Amino acid sequence: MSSLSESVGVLWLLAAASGAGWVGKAAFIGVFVALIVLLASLPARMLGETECRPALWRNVRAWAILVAAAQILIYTLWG
Amino acid sequence: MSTIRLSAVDIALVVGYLVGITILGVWLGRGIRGGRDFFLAGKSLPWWAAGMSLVVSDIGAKDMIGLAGDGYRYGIVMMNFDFIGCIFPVLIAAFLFMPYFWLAGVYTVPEYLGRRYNLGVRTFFAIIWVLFMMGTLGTVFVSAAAMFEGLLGWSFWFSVMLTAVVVGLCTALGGLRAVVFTESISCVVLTAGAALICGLGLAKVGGWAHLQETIGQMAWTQHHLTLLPPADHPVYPWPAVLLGLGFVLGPAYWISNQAIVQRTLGTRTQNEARASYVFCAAIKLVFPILLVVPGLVGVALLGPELGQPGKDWDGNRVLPMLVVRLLPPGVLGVVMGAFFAGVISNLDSYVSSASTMVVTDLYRTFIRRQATDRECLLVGRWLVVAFLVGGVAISYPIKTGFGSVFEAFQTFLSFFQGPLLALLLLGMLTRRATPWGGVAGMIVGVSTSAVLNSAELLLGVPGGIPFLWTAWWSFVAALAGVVVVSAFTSGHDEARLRGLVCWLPAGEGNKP
Repeated sequence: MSSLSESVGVLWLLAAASGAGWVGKAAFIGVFVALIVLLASLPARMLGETECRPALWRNVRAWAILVAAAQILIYTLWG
Repeated sequence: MSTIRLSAVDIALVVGYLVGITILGVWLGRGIRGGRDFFLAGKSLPWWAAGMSLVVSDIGAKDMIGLAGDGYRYGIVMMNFDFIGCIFPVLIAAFLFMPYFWLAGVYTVPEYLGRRYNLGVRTFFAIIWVLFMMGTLGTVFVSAAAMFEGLLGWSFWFSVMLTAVVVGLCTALGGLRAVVFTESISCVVLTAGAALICGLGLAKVGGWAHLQETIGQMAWTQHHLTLLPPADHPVYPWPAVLLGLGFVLGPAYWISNQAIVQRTLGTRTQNEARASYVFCAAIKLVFPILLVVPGLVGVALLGPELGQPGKDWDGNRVLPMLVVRLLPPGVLGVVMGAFFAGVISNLDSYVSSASTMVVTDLYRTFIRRQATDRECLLVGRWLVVAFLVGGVAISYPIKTGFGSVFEAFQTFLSFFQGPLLALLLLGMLTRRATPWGGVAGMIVGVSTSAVLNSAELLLGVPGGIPFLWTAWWSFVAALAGVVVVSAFTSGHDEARLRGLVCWLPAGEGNKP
């Protein structure tokens, strides 16, 4: 167990020190993926969408998800 | 640095813009009758205007000057201030936090803290915000003067005074409504101006691919083309960018900044407030590129002249020098207009918010509890003048004391944003956070950031501690302070917390 955690620690340090590499990129992309999951799972009642769902182009939640997805693309390309 | 002569077209564009924006600001102020009209625009703002206003409340002159300078010094890592440091927290604020401010019916963030914790916490953060806003005004005045000195040869004090008069007229007479609508226009002009500098700069250096190649050949720019520099980067290591900027400074700025929250509180409905945040986030996908790429263009074009940034290197010179080299007559007028737009939008946002905070959290709380709405309006207008005078006075020490205006702004923020976010998060998410816990978290957090900000002097750390780490650790310290002290003290009863904590919806009796 301790050798496993040691290996993980070494890997982390190597990745962190060699430019952000995949660890940094994965962390940033993970934040936006988590945000998209959160936005998608918010109850409609909380956003005042109780009566009928707005058309997609007027749906604030859909636009927010689109912006977060654009961030994933940016960090994938430039991270 | 050589200055330039504006052509007749440029002068006409700049003067036309200034006169037009002043007349519009005064005209929009004609219907103001009380504090609610002045401070919250009578709750009448459309989402698109509030959204554009949010963008230029954040991005203005200090960012045009500061991000070009820091883009030259550090590269595209600076875009993180608008990506993970803005878009992520803005979307969180829109969907999770804004509803609580809205439902609590508050004018200011310290007012919310006062209801959730106690008067001491409210007063402390109101005072510290006001001081921060005064410092911010100083940074914007320095940005304006750097540009006008560099381009037109105007003196520092003349540039500062002219700017203060135009902003004073718009803000003191027009209130939040004038601020937001003039900022919407500023947003369009600012985008056009920034796009012109960016586009012409890229054309001059032979396009993006050629720029990458040029920067790649230099020894000191090895991390300029990545958003996530390595963990041993001296100023922006990626873990600090994620934890300090993405999880503390960004959320604290976008969730608890009075200049930001006030705009969304002025919209017509909660859904429009949410839409304004999302619109702001969408615009912010483009802005960092427009503001940071000129810094990279500066490396390619001005590198031999400006050299590698050292300790006394002045980053504020990069943009004015680029403007002189890149822009033909006519185009220069648009860019100057954009720069004025940035100056005005930054200044009027902070002046208007600071006056709202002083009236709501200090004047009405300590000086005249029975003040009428009309009286608050009058005091608010005089405070606009007072803050502008204070900002003018502090501008010169900022000019001489910091490497760039952006560095000054971020350093001011890192003093208290971590503790503020900790108190807001725990206040909104748990009923267990007590008033004494809030006081303890505030003291521990701000003390931690004060010590870490002075690490070179107090702890002997060479070069000091990156401000993003300061923000993160002050947040953690404040969080610990609130949790530990709350465990041993008693909190408010459930009735008092209704509508302030997310698990306790407002009852019929205490809805605003």
